[in-house]
Amino acid sequence: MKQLFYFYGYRLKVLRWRKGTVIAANVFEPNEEGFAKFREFVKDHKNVKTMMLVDIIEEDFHSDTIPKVLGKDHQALLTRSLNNNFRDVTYRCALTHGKSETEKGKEEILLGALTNTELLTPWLSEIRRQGIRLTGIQSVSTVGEALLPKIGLDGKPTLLITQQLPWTIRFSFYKNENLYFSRLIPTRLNDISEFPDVIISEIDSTLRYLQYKRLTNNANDINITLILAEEYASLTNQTLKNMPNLNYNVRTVPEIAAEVGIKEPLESTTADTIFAHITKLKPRNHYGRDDDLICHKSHTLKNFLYSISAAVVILGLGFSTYLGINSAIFDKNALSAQNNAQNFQQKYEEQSMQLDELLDNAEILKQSVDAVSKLSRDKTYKPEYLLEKLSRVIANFPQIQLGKIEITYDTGLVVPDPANPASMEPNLEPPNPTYPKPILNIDATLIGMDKDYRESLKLVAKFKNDLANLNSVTKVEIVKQPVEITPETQFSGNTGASIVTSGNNLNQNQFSIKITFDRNMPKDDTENTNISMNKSFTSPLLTSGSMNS
Amino acid sequence: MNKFDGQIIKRSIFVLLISIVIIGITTGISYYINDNASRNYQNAKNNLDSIKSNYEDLINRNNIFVEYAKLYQQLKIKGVIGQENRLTWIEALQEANKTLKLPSLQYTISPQEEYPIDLVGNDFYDVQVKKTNMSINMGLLHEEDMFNILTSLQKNARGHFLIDDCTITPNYIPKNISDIDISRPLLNADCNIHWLQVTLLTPDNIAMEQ
Repeated sequence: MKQLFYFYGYRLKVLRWRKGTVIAANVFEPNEEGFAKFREFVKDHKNVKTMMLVDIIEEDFHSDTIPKVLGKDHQALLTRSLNNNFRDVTYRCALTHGKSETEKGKEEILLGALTNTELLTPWLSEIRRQGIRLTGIQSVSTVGEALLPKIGLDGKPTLLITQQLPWTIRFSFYKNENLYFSRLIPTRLNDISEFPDVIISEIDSTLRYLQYKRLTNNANDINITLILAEEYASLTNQTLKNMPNLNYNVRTVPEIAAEVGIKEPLESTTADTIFAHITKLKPRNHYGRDDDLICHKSHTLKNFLYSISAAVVILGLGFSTYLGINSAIFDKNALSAQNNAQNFQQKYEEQSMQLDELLDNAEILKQSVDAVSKLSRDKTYKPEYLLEKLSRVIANFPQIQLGKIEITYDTGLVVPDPANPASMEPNLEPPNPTYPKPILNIDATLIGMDKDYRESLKLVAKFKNDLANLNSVTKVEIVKQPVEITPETQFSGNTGASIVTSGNNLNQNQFSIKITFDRNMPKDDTENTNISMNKSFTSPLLTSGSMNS
Repeated sequence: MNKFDGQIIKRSIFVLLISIVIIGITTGISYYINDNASRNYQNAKNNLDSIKSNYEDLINRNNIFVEYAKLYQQLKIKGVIGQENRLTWIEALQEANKTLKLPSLQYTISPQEEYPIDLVGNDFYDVQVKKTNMSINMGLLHEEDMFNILTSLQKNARGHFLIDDCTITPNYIPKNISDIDISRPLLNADCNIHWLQVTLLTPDNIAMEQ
């Protein structure tokens, strides 16, 4: 529900709407009886948001410019400008028109004032006394700013002439939908036929005033729109046709009412019903002072506090509910955890009883197994693997006849022996029983190369190289060369035409080689540790050479 | 001059205060209950984690035990763990030679002795590691026979031996195949091996029911 107090300068009209339809309307005289009726009329609707629309002659306007500033400075400048123009006026307002078009860095403002409120004050006092929720006081002239765009006059300089009461006409001038000037003219007419002449006369004087005030340069640029009661409109239209230099448009109140969406039946035949409707749609406060609006502010604060209370209650209950649900989840999870704990405890105790005795022996078992694992050389090349590798190479050397083959596994353990000084020195590399170094010591003889010492040396060197190229061999050393020609050794031989075998060179062509294999068996060769003799060792090492020879 | 009408707003202020108080109390109680429930849950969870951890630890220990127990049992069956069984060694050699019919096969078993501590290390304080040296002299017609003997010994004898060294030396070189005398070895092989034996310092009463 909405409520409007329309003050015509003497009487007060009260209008009440519900869903856009006027549900109550009454006019009250400013006397004891009128006030009593007014009190009775509003007593059950004091909390309804109420706007007051004043439509009085004693409203004055001044245009001014102030420096363009913001905040408190802006407010101070407006107050100063109001004081300069309307010092002792109680009901006054300053409306901004935005950036000045003529003065750079300045802002245009319109100062308005209700210069005589002798008749308005009793009503405002009564409204205050009754605690009616007054949300603002506005004048018809400023409400016109909101009317223009609704009737297609936005942006154009417009002189809006509205018939407020049958004999009262308001002239308002708007530019860019901002009010610049407005005045209410009461007419004393004997007959309706006099109305158009009054209108034409007033238009003429108003246009001259606007030019004088430099609000317009050319009267022809101004769009003159008249909103009149139906019977006045047709009459005025006919008269205005005789003035072709005017850019005018006569509209009737019902037309405009339909355009702005006022529901039938209209509460009045004049334009006041349109302004009442626009005010209801877009309530603003221009003239209302703090003490006029105290009731509304208090209601607003009250509603705000209720909203806060509701928010506090909703949030609090929401949070409490969340905590409650959370608690229930915690309780459920705790119960589940307790049950699980009980189950695990029971299982633990059952298993523990069964295993306690056994687990006591676990360490002994582990040590036994680990000791065997450490010493059992599972990952070391077996003798058959070493000989198989040797056989592959020696097959390419038919001149070499193997003598003694010795297979050893060097763990690196050195037994201290005073007779052997080397064994007494600290061992830099600790013994490695898990991965000992497999070593092959070979004594061999070269066949058919009795005096070809150079070739013998070459052949042994090649044999050594071929052994060294085996992927599992780490080192090959020639312990004894087939020909001892080092400076430390004695060497004798026979180069005569007839070869005589003597005991002097019996040791010639015999050599010894030491082959050292990897400590750790590569993964690929793991299978080879279990190779069968028949598969890997097809040709005998020591017997083959002799058989061939 | 007051900006607001006290008569209008006093009730809303009262309602707001009452709302704040009631909601404060409600929220406080809910928070207290939630906090208690949270603490109870945390305690129950910690307790569960602790018990679960103990249980998992027990299961892990059990798994390790089972794993080692299997290996232990295998080694015990094989004769590596426990007392040495020389008779099976000798029998294994004899059995192997029944098939191979080597011209000669001689062996010497030395008294059991402590395994060198430098090789064993100091980690095995609950067990005693010993070794028994054995030297085998074989007269061979083919070097594969040496490996057959050693393989048969490893397979059939109770215990586990490690080769220290093996030496193969040709005995004589036949001129042709008719020169081969199967009663006369073509090769001589000398192998020094040692048997690994692990005995428990505690009485051997480990339950193996797992």
